[in-house]
Amino acid sequence: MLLTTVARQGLCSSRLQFGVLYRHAVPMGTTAKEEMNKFWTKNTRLNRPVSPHVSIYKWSVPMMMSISHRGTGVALSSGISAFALAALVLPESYPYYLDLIHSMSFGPQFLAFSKFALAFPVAYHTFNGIRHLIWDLGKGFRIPEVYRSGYIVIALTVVTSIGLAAM
Amino acid sequence: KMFACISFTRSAVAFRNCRTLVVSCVYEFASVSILCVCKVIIKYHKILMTFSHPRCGPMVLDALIKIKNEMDLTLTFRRSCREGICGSCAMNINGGNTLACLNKIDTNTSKVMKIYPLPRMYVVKDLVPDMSNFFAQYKSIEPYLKKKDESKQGKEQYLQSIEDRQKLDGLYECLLCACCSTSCPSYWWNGDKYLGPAVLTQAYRWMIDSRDDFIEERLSKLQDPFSLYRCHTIMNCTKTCPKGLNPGKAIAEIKKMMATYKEKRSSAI
Repeated sequence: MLLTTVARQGLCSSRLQFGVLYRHAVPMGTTAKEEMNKFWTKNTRLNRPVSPHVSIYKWSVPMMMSISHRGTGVALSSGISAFALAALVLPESYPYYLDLIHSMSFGPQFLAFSKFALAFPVAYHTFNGIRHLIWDLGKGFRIPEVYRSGYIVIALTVVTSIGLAAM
Repeated sequence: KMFACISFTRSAVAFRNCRTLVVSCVYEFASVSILCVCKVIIKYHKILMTFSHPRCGPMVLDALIKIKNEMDLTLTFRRSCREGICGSCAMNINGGNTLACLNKIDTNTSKVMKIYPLPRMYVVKDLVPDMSNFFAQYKSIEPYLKKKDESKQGKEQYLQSIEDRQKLDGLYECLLCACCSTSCPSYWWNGDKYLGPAVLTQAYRWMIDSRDDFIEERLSKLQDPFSLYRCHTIMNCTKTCPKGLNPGKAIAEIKKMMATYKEKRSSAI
């Protein structure tokens, strides 16, 4: 029994000595970058089809609110840029065009609707923007909280848009 | 582009010709009654075939196995543990990504169940996607303990307080099933350069492990427009995780660390 323990100890010590050497003797088979390149070349070469995504994925309120945030953001940016460009390019001044709109006899419903349509993206993007800032603090990431904050944003948006349009 | 592939063992030759187009498999099922009848409707090119089978298990995976055994032997899908711990059977069921072995079949027999592979992945066959890119991205974040001083390796345990170990709860349980990453529209559009919620959650898991010494290097590896910052908090990931984990929160915590942590330039100087 003494022999076996001595032999075992001898084996252990030699393994410890060589362990450090072995660790870097065999490098990794492929790097992550190599594997990624192999993936792309192989799949494009085989011309494999891609599984469906937007056409089949179930839409949800948070998903729709996220794309709406992007949509309203693009709309608002381009709207402001268009307004600025128009201010530069158009011959007359702002009061002239304001009088022009006054002279066109639009119905009160149409004016109210267009004011609502202008106010809605501003309000939505602002309130959802605040929701994003809260997320940046790390708060409100549980799914019930995401839905709750989402519904609050929608409610506030509708109320604010009606309020702004009524002014 | 949508592909549907069906091949029946007893089908006409006409169906076999469509196989050359096929790659992703769409099977539409009716629901299954747990105790008795399994009624499966397969619909393709307006041809309806109804089968009634007694005794099928309650989960979608059971239905898939039953179809493979009795109706179409060529139906191909990944599966292993059948208990929601291996992550093999991840697929898109009724529009959401889950594990087939954990997803109960709706007992309402009038509803049709739609099964697709994980979204926007290259399809090898039927419901099997090519996961190599996903695993390569996981490899790229170096998901193992790294210590500055490795002289004590193997001598004794690296101790960790209970509080520090609790920080890993909700992160270590990830199966790497890819349900979250393939549910993320950002990953759909930038799957080559954006790492995706699963891999980023694991990056976070190693960053906050108190035994790991390389947090700054791990953070600096994400310092480019794509690896981390394609996340726009769409929150599909947390919604779809079959294990109830929260990748969205983990990514938000990484973003906070990226902003406040002083990153020593490990490569320069």
